[in-house]
Order: sequence, then C-alpha cells, then structure tokens
Amino acid sequence: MNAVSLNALGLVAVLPMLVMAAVLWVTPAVTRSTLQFGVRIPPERADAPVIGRERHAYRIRIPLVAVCVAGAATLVPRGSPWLFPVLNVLGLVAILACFRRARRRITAVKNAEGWYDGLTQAVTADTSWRTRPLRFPLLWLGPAVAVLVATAVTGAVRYPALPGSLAVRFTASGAPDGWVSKSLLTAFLPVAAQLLLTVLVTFQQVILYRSRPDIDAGTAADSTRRYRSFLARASRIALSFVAFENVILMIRAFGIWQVYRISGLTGATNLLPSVGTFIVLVVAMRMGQGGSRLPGFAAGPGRAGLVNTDDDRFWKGGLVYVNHGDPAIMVGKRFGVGWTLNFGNARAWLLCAGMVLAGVVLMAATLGP
Amino acid sequence: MLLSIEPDDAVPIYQQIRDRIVEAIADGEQPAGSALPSTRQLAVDLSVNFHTVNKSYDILRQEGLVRINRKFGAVINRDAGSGPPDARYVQDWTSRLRTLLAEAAAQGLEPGEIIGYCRTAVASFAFPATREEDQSGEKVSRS
Repeated sequence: MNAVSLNALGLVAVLPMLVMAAVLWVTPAVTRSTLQFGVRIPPERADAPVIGRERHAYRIRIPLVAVCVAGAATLVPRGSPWLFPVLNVLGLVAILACFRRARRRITAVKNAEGWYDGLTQAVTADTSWRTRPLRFPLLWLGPAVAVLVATAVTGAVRYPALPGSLAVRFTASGAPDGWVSKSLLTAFLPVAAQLLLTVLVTFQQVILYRSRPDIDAGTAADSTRRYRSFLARASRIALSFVAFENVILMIRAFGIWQVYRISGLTGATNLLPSVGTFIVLVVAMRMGQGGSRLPGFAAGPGRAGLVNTDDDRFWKGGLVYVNHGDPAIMVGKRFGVGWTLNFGNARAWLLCAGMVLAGVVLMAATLGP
Repeated sequence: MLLSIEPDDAVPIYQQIRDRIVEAIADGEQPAGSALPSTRQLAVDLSVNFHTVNKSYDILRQEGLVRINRKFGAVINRDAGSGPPDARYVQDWTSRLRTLLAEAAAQGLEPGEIIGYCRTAVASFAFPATREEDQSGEKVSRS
C-alpha cells in the first residue's frame, strides 16, 4: 500500500518536468518551418533531409527522457524528497541536450552547404502595423480588476474584526495548520499579489502592442495580418488568465479573513493555477508561432527574391536573444510560441527583474508561508 | 506599405529607408497625407538604431516629401498629384539623372534600351490621371 502511494507521489513531484517535456516535444511542430531548433532556414531549404532527420530523432529522444525521469521518480526512497528537484533539473538538462544536438547538426549542414549563399537577405516591416495599430482590449481587463476590487473591499471590511493571529495555511480537510501575527502586510498579501499580477501582465501586454510583430519577413504582409489575430487572441487569454488567478487569490484571502470555512476549496486552490497554465499552453500551441497555425489566412507569396536575414548569431544557444543593436525589448520566441526578451537591451533586464519579483511574491501569496 | 531593407548591402541603411519611402510615394502606396510610423517604431520594426531612421526622415523632410508634425507624427507631404516641383529641384534632379544615365551609357547600353528602361519605370508609377483611371475605369479630365 505504501509503495503505491509512493509511486504516485513521485510522479506528481516530477510533473513540472513531464509537462515541460510534453511542451518541448510538440514545439518543433508549432514552430515555423523556416526556424527549426533555433536555426534560421531559407524557405527553399525547409525540406532539407537533415531537418527531417533531426526532428525525428528529437521526437523519439524526448519521450525516452520523460520515461526515464518518471521511472526514476517512482524509485526515490521515502526519506529523500530532495531527489525530486534534482530529477526535474536533470530531465530538463537532458532535453536541452537533445535540442542542442539537433541545432548543431542542422547548423553544420547549413554552413557546409552555404544555404544563404547568393540569397538576398532582408528585413521587412509592414508599416500598417503602426499606422493602423491594433487596439489593446481594455474591456478584457474588467473581470481581473473587478475581482481585485471586490477582494480589497472585503478585506478592508473584515480587517478590524480579525483576531491577532491569522490562519494562512490549511490542511486538505480545511483545518488551519499555519498562523502568522496580524498586520496589514500579512492580511493583504493576497491583494498585493493580485495587484502585482494584474499590473505586470497588463504592462507586459501593452509593451507587446508596441513591439515588433513576430513575422516572417519573406511573407510580411500575410504574416503581419496573422500576427494581429494572434496577439489579439493571446492578450485576451492572458487577461482572462489574470482574472482566473485573481479569483484563486480571492478564495485564499477569504480563507485567511475567515469569510467562509469550506473544506477542500482551499486545497483545490493549490492545483488550480496549474490548470490555468495548462489551458494557456494548449491554446498557445494551437495558434502556432506568431499565429503561423491559425486557419483562414492564405500563405501569400513573399517579395520576389528576398529572404529573412540570417540572425542565428544573435540567438545564444538558439534560445536567448542578445542583440545590442536592436532597440526592441520583447521579440517573438525563437523556439516555441510566445515572446522573449532582448537581453542586449538594459530595459529588458529591468522587465525581467520585475517579473522575477512578481513571481516570488505570487508564490508566497498562493502557497502560504 | 512593405518596407524592406538589406542590412548587408553597400547602400547605407538610412539611404535605403529613404529610397523605399520615395518609391512608395511614386507607386501611389503612400499618397500625400498618409501616415508613416514614428522613427522609434520603424527602428524597432526594422531592428536598426533609432538615429538611422531619424536621418532618413530628416532627408525626406528637407526634400519636402515628408512633414513631421508634433501631433500626427510623420506624414507624407506631397505626391505626384501635388503639382509641379520648384525649378531648383528640377535642376538638381537633372544632374543626378545625367550621372545615372551616364553609368548605363558607359557600361554599353544602347540609347533605345536606356529609354526603354526609363519608360518601364515611369509606367509603374501612379500619376493622378492613371490612378483615377484605375479606380473608376474611365478617364477623368483635369483642368
């Protein structure tokens, strides 16, 4: 009986790594054919045998890594929970090694065969992106703000009547098992987390609306239209996710403020953020890189004879963008769906620090002390 | 408009941006009164330094093709339908044209060929009469 519960626990402990493996497993398929494993590929070389070979090898290796890590997790003895983070990290390192191998092999063939020789490399902008800008969906911010205000008002009403020590952690059955002394900071930590999350995601979305569209320069007009649809959807999903997270924080706050006493609900709030994250991931993967998988857009021909500039040298390890000459703060991800920072820009570092800080505060508020 | 630059080309990037915008005006893609992105926006979109775009816009402003308005940003100031240019401009342009045509002659192109290329280029531009013809299907006379 003990052994069975141990197995299940072990799998849950390496779940972050398994989810990561699943996401990275589908990533080559949702990434443009002209950007595989962080390597820029001219359109006429998208069918090169080496790319197909490396994709196939990657598709087999990732599940192997996942199975090994999951198997090892079930064998971890009861007294050594510290092994789980180690397994998570080891699994991720193994996946990165698979990525690196594919990237190196494709790069080697690309350089040996001179894929960019004789091609006219260009950067193309569609000025309509700026002259007819997409409008930020302010209304979609409404639910998140409404939940935040409702939580803050409830807290203000309850605060004077609260006892000197607050129950901030609860067992699965709803009985409190962690206390802190009452202060504005401890009582309103969930509200602070809501505010931080709402402001940060909104700020990040506003930056995206002003950033360069993640487009394929070879088909600039078509892919700018695609990207418009992609960003409009992505920001609505992000703002809905904030509203969802704010509700979870509200439920936790109500537990701390003794507004209700429902067993189970507080326990569920530990799992719900992961559910929200999972939904966001699935929707993102379905849209594809920069909306490249969105239906209803004709793949228009590119400008005659022009291909995207080969910008591999700015992508460290094929994943991290460092370009001091690029004024952009956020750019489209190289491998996967979404955005990443230009670490060659000082303002990107500031944004990064803000996000890390917000992450720490959020963790503190959602998981309790 | 679609604005393409070639970072590896011998022509400086500010010159390329300026040239592409002039061509877009002539093609009718950017008629008088239409907006251009701000210098910072275009710099981000083309992944170049903001001073580079600033330089292009400054040249276009000096040429009278673009006006930079504090409220509306950069706007196309004139196009083929805005009337004839001043005489000084024509004089300057003629001397540059002479250099360009001289290159073709020096490289051995026949006079007929040179005229042919000129004709093709001019035919691809949108002049007021041809533009109205495109839209309504019949020629509108202008006095």
